[in-house]
Amino acid sequence: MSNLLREHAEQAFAHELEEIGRADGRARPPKWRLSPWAVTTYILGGTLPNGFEVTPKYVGSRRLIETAVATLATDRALLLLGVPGTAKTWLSEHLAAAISGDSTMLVQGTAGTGEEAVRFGWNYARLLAEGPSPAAMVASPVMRAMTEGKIARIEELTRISSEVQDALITILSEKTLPVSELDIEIQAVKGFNVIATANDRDRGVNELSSALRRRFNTIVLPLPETLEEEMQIVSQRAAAIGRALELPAEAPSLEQVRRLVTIFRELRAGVTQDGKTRLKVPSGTLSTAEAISVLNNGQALAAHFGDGTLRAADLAAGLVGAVVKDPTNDPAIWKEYLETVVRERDGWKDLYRACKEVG
Amino acid sequence: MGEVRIFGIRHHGPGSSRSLLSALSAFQPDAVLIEAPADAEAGLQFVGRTGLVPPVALLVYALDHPTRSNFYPQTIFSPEWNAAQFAFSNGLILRAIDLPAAIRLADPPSEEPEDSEDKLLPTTNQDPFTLLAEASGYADGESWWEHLVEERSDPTDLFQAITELMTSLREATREDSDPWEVRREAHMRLAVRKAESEGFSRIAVVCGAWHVPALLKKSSVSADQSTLKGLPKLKTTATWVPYTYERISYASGYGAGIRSPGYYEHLWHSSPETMAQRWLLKTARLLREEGFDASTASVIEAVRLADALSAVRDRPMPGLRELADATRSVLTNGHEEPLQIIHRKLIVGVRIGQVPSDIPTVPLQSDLESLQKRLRLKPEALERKLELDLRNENDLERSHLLHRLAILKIEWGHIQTVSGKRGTFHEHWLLRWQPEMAMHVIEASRWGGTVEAASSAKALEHAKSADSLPALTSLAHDVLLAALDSIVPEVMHRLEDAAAAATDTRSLLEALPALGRVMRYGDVRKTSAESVGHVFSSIFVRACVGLPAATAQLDNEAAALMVVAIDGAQSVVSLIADAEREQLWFDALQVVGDRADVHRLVSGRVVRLLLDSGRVDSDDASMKLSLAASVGATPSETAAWIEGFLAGSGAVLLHHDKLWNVLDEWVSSLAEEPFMEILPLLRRTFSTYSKGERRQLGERVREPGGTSKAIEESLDEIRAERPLPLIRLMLGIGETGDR
Repeated sequence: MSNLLREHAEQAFAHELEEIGRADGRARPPKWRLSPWAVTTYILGGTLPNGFEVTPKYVGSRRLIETAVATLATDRALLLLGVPGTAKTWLSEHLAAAISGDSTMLVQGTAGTGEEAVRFGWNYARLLAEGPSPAAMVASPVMRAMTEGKIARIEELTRISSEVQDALITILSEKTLPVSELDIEIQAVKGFNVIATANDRDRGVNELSSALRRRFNTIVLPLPETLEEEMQIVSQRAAAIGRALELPAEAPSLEQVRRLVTIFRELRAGVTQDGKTRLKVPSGTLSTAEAISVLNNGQALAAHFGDGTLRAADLAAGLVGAVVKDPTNDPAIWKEYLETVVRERDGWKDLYRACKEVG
Repeated sequence: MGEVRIFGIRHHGPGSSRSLLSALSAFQPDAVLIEAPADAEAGLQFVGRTGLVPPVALLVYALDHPTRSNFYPQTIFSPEWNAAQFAFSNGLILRAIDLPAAIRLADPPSEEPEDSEDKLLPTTNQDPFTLLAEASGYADGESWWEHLVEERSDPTDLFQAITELMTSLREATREDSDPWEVRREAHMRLAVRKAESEGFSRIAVVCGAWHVPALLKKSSVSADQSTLKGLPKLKTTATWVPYTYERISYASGYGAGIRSPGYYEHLWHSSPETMAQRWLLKTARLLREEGFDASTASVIEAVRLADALSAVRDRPMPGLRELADATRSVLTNGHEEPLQIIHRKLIVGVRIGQVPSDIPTVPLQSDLESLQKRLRLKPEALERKLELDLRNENDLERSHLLHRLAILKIEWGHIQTVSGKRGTFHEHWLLRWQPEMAMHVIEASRWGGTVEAASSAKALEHAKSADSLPALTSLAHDVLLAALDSIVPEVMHRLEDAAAAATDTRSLLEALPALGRVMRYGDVRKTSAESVGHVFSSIFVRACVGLPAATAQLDNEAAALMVVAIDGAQSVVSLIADAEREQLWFDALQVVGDRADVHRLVSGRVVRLLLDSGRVDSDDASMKLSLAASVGATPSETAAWIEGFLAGSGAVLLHHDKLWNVLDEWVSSLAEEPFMEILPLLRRTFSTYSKGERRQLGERVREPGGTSKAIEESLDEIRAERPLPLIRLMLGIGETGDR
């Protein structure tokens, strides 16, 4: 096991990628490590002809993944849209890993992301010493992806200011990056493409201009449809992260995961699973990703301060923190939920008491 | 012995149709047998008649029980329709060979009308098509068939392949135990044999793919005959009715169950090479019409994505799934709402069929015609007024008919509110028959074969799906006016449930006037007033209880609506004249009138209602007015109170000097600025009064010290009597008995 805190997808799943590559006899688009079919299999999981089990990386609609892969195969850029915690980044990392074998050509979009992060910058020492030359340029991840024919990833595209966003238009439509200072251009080689992610919940984001939007195919990633689907995601990811952090705790019992996911789903939907009781909805997003982190948090607590088994008390601390985000309204909403739903449910007494203790 | 060839198709499959037509021209049959009820054969003679434009449906109904009927929809791309057209244009014998609907309809339908006619998939528990489809990586049986058959461009040997496939499928699954399936197949076998024995040499049989192996099965004539022996039969008749794509796509009891008739028509009309492009272009043009962006460049990208998707999914060419995914991803940027428009207008489609007028029509239509005749109510294109006196038996029935038709959305008559003759015994209608109503009649015929049965069924359906109180209230009102007595208890029951769950007091209040009127005039209309009474009182009590809380913290708009609701409720309280209930109501009003957190418009109104009903006297009312007009309130709050208090009639000011004085003082005390501010509000209130009232109020202002008596005394009786002779002359009434 490596001593890295977190491995890239292509490192963590190197073995799977290799096995799939060996089994994959289908046509591959230029510079693709795998065929579109094999990429889909890598993402959604499945059994290879030789019996090798590929773990699912994304649990959800097959149609979405097929559309995403087909988009990238047509050299159109892909925009993954969704509320926070719907595995946008996760999916983009795995797509890049499977297609280019490299998920590191990454631009993290923030309000401060400048043009040099999308196009290129200058090495000023060299610029002063030698004057402008290609050697004095500092390539951005996007530029490197263009020259190497790989997938570039842009996270949180809508947080980047509009001027910088629009620098992408030429790159996406002409597949070229003009360097007017040197009167040269950098043309993308085959295999280059862009996967961008953006969330549609944030206020104050910079909407994409329609010129840029037109250059993306959009896929909206939904919240998990069923309880079972979400359970699978949460327990699978929590186990994986637990392994990576070398937590000595036992894997969380399915029952704990089910309770956690149920609470998240109920509060998100504003109605209990049986459809009988209407609930108020707290201000947080309560995404699947947050459920995973609550579970991890609980596991860490259990491992270091408990007996290694995840119990209600270990969950409660993280749970309350995840639900109560807005100090004015959320506490009352949570209390109401606790008293009317958690308390009344068979076998949930321990959780009720633990949550009461946390406050 | 003649040659019999069996063509297994999917109902409404455009690919099946295309393959069938080329197979038929190659086979050159001398008789075409199609899977349609044998007693619908009379209807088949109309195929080929100009003016019969699909989508249309062959309707078979029992003559004595018009509600028992089956629809067999046909579209331009349906294999049966094309087979019939083929037979017609080549002058061949055309026969319908399925089990007669007469037998089918004799068995009272247990729940929904039978639908197996138009189903590709059999009714066995483990659907073999789905198993097969899943084995080859498709989501369900339908999409599997779609790709293998409907979207195929090369029809060679298709039918042979289908026959083999179905044979092995049916061998692998346990035999269908549904007795109706067994009878249908026996009937079809017998019909084929009969054609053979009549000496036809090349017989083409067109039937659902599932039935092919059964028709090929060697089975003795006597066995088949005994299967069909002794089954009860009804007298039936067959006709054509216009149909719509929307109805074909309903998963309702009439079967068909194809989800995308618009898309199928597109498949039928376009060549496989350009199908995807044309579809996406149509989509883009629709989006533009609806005001969304959809550039040509986007269409190109969508076509590329659809192609790439079909490659990823191992399909020879894009199908509806690929096209829909490409549309979502490129043309609508992931938005759902334009997709719904695309679904309704393109994928389902909005086509309506036509039936020439010389083809006899649906049972509902004949029931309507006989009612029109009996009630002497002729459909006329010109608008005309109709005044009904509900004490008169014939008029009452006419009223019921018009109300029932309104429930069925056949809006022949529009009810008019006539001032002066409110409620009671009279109803005023404006009648106008429009040609498209014939279509509405046919649309409505799915609800039943008589006007009464159809409107009952439809109203009941609505009652079951409606959950809001206002919707149910208006439905209940309609049902009572239409005298659909058989469903009144159920509707009332639903209404009561909804009232119990309702948290919005205003909607409870709004429910009261309609119900109150019904109770009041129930005896005239012969409606069952006692069933209403129970619901009325339960809603009434809930409304009274909820009223104080519901009037707190309202904004201007909500307050205005609340005032209307309270007024409405007040009008029925006085109609009912039940002391106990009335007390409950006025107690609630008292509470509202006394509360400080109630919107002034509402408080003003409530005090007025209390004053009018004598629950508070004019001293009290003027005290409340002066309270509302005191310094603690802003001028606009006061104006709102006054608006609520005085709305409708200002006579109260003429009769209560105290009120007049308080108001007068308040207006005089206003500084210029607030006065200008509230002037429009007051003006609005006073402008609702009649001219006479306004004049009297004006005169009252002119003589500040005067009392209301002065106005009455100013009536000069001698002068007032002068015009009377002329008025009598104009009205044509004599002087006898007058004065």
